[in-house]
Amino acid sequence: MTPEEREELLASHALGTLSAPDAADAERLMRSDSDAAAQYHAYREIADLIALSAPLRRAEPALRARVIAAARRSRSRRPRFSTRQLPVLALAAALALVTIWAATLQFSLAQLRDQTSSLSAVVESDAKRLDRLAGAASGVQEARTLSLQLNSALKDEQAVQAVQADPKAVVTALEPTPASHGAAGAYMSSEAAGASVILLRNLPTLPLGGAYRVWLEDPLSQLTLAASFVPDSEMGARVALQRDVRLEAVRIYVVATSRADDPSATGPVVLMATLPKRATTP
Amino acid sequence: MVDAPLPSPDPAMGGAAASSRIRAGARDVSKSGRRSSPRANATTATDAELMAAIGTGDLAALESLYDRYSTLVYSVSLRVLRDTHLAEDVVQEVFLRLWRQPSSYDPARGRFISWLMSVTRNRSLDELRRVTRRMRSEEAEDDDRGHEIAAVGHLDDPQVELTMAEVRTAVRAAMTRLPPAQRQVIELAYFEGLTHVEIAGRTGDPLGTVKTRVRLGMRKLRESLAEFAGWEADRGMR
Repeated sequence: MTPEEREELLASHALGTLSAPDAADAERLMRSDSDAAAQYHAYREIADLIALSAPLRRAEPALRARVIAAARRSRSRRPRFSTRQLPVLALAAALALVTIWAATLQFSLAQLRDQTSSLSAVVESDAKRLDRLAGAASGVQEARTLSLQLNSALKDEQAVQAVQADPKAVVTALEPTPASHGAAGAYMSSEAAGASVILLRNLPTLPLGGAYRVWLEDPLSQLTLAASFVPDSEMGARVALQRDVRLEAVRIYVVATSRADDPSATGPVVLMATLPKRATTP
Repeated sequence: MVDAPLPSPDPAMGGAAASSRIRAGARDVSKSGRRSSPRANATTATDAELMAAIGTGDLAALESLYDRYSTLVYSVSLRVLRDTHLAEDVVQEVFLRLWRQPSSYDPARGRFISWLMSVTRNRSLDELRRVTRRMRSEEAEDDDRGHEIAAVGHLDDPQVELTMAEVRTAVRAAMTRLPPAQRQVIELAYFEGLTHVEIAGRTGDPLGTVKTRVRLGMRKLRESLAEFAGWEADRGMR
């Protein structure tokens, strides 16, 4: 890499214009080279200043009253304690939360299993019906395609269920990036289930026709596409990673792309994580 | 972009101290026979102290931060969205986020104003993406509704204005001095959140040209603004 290419990579990373693979390159460079990290941070300071070039314009005065009124309304819902009470109350609240969380989790898992079983049965039945339809009316490509999609969705749902039900599943929190905008998620891998999934929520809205992609990076820094998906209506997703991706992943990237129909399309990294050594994709 | 995950420190640490300092200031003023005003006393607190006070539910601290920075937040959001109503929504969301999640700012990880601008930019870009089809049509680009609002020359808070006027002028001058093509790619990246590939698609320039323009433009900005790196700390910015 020439000095110009290196500067280009770091300056662009500071500005947030890199695609996922390039951003991964920049991160690797900074981890291995403290001078590169320093150069990046210098450019990041400059990028931070760019906001100040926006022409100053004042919002209408009524906005202040609206913001403060909204804050006051939300304050009425905030519990207020004296600082002296805080440790005891915090401990009690934590214990209560843990108890409720444990009970809720058990209930949710049981409920999830029931719901998923029901859903699986319906999907399985539909898939069989479609198979029969496709067989009866040979050449009905649409029915076959739909059948394949349903079977694929069924397998994904079963994988998600199996991983979530495994108490020994390895869970790794996905870290937000400046492009995450409040998104959060976790990577779960289960040896017993032979599957791995990612659970995501609050993903940034995609432009029309966009999609999210999941990339796995191996120890040789090779990136492999593990999944492509569109979030649900609440901008969440449960995604089973493809079974044929048999590699030892060291890092995972969730990337927003503007074009779902273009496999080469790239975009900003929204969430990422360095995976534990034993967490391998099935 | 894979850096700077938002931290989640304990807001109670220091928050009570800052809040009580603000309230203590209010008591001192009232003792001297002047009218008691939490906001007036909050003007002596740093941004970090005000955020810590917000963590304890001190509404006056939120009002102070609003008075200091709402014009900046609104201006950046309007620059991104070019729609006054959407920009106002973003201002409200940003300040309510400060109020509801004060722990999302960690003073140890950087300057408050940088963090606030980052939150504003990200939230504005989210909104921009949400309304892409409606807002980014050719008509919307021509009808830049942000320009209907008269520009203002300064911030409302005199102390903040005193500290920031010089750096703001320098940043605007540095951006203006850039060759137009370099300024365009940097503005498309920063204010519209576009990647190299998307910028190339927008401008019709080769990808390599876009990358070079980003590098050269950022290098020139770095040279022009070298004296302002770490400007808050050096100049006693709160």
